[in-house]
Amino acid sequence: MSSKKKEPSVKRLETELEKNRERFRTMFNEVPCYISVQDRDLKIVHSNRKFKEAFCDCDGDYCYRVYKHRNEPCLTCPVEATFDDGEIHHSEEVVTSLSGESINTLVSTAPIYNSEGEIDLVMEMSADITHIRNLQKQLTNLGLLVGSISHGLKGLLTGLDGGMYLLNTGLDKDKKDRIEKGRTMIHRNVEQIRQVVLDLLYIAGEEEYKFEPYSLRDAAVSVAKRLAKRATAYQIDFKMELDEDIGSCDVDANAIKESLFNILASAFESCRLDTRKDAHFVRFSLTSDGDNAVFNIEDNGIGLNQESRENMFNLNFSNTGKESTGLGLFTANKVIEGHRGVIEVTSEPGKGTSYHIRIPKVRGSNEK
Amino acid sequence: MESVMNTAQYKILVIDDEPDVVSYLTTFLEDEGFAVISAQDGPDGIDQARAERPDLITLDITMPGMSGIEVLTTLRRDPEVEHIPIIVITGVASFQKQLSFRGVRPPEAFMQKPMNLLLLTENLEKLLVQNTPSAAHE
Repeated sequence: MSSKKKEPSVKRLETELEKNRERFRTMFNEVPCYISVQDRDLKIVHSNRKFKEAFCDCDGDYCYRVYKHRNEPCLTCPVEATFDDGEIHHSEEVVTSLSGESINTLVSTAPIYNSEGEIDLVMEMSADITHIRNLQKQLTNLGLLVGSISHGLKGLLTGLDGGMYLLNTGLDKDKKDRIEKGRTMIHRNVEQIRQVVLDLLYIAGEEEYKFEPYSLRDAAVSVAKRLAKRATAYQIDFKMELDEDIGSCDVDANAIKESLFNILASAFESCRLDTRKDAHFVRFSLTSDGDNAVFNIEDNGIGLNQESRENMFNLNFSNTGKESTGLGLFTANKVIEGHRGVIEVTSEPGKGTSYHIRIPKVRGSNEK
Repeated sequence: MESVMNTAQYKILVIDDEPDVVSYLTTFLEDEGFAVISAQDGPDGIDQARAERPDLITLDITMPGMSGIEVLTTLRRDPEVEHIPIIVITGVASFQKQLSFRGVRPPEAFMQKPMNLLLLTENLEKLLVQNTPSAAHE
């Protein structure tokens, strides 16, 4: 065959080849996961568009530096494993994007052979599973929340049962002291169940606060009124000192009142459960330190050890150690954080606890 | 509740940090004719057990400071009081799993809160009658 007759078919083949290359290049770039191809030195020789967008256009750099910002290879590396045995390997890795974001990935590696049948490259394909891991975390938290609530409700139901027993047997035996004790127990536990329900509603609802100018002094007075009877029932000396000049602050009035109520209720419970002192007090004050309104709540109840203090605002934690739901302080802290405020706690087992709550008076203030 | 047991001869120690539970249990047990003492934390519970040598102990698990598991472990390792039967009364569901790692004799009975008083009475009868010197051994 003459060379002139060959040319059209060669050109056609070259065109076809270039089209196929372009097609595979497009497929490589458009695959919706991160793809990098490493050589035996773990240097990246090729990468797709999604990889470049997330990490960098840095072919030639080491994969461990790009994916994990490390200076040396990872301890267990699926790419090295594939170089060793020629098999596909899978692992789950947490990598860091260019913007510093952590990404959970499911990694698969595959060997690429050269014309001599040797593995000279390994392809690493990483699917982003961050969303799945976050959902798992949320489900785990939900499970913990349900467990904690049922645990706490068991305690409250026992208290109600106890109150009913005392009331009924007190009526049967005509024992007035017992009747009164039963009534008090029922009332207290019903109040606590009510608060659990309110806290659950808060957690279930979206945290959208309605910020409006509101007098925190009025919030303090309102909360104190709700707790006045409890102070008498628990024989707690409950004293308030409220700054007259605090003015109005940008807050969600209902959320702030509930938050203060939960913290004060916790202080009251600490006193009620403390059997080692003859007298208990709770001090509640409101002052200002310039840009912030400052609440101080101090009790001389059972107090907290270091572990309890560090975990007191976590879901499932009860600062009194008893079988309560742990929702009260968790929601209180969420509200204060939602107002860009902060709660500082000092406590000593056997002595009592102090809560120092700072809330910016003006929304958007950076003062903390 | 009717019982054939001569309850007046028995002393029961109630260990629970929640005053409402102590009130409830104490009142019920006294109504049943038992002598009752109580403690609202672990260390006091251990002291009372050693000093009073009750015939039976009811024990909460979730208490501040010393938990019920630590109380039970301490009591079981003390030859003076290790024989006292213990009924755990708690809202903790995973209690039995936790205790299996402590290497001590488990409680004689385990009850979930909120309490079933009928079940409590049955447990008391079983454990107190079994522990009297005249009781037949298995």
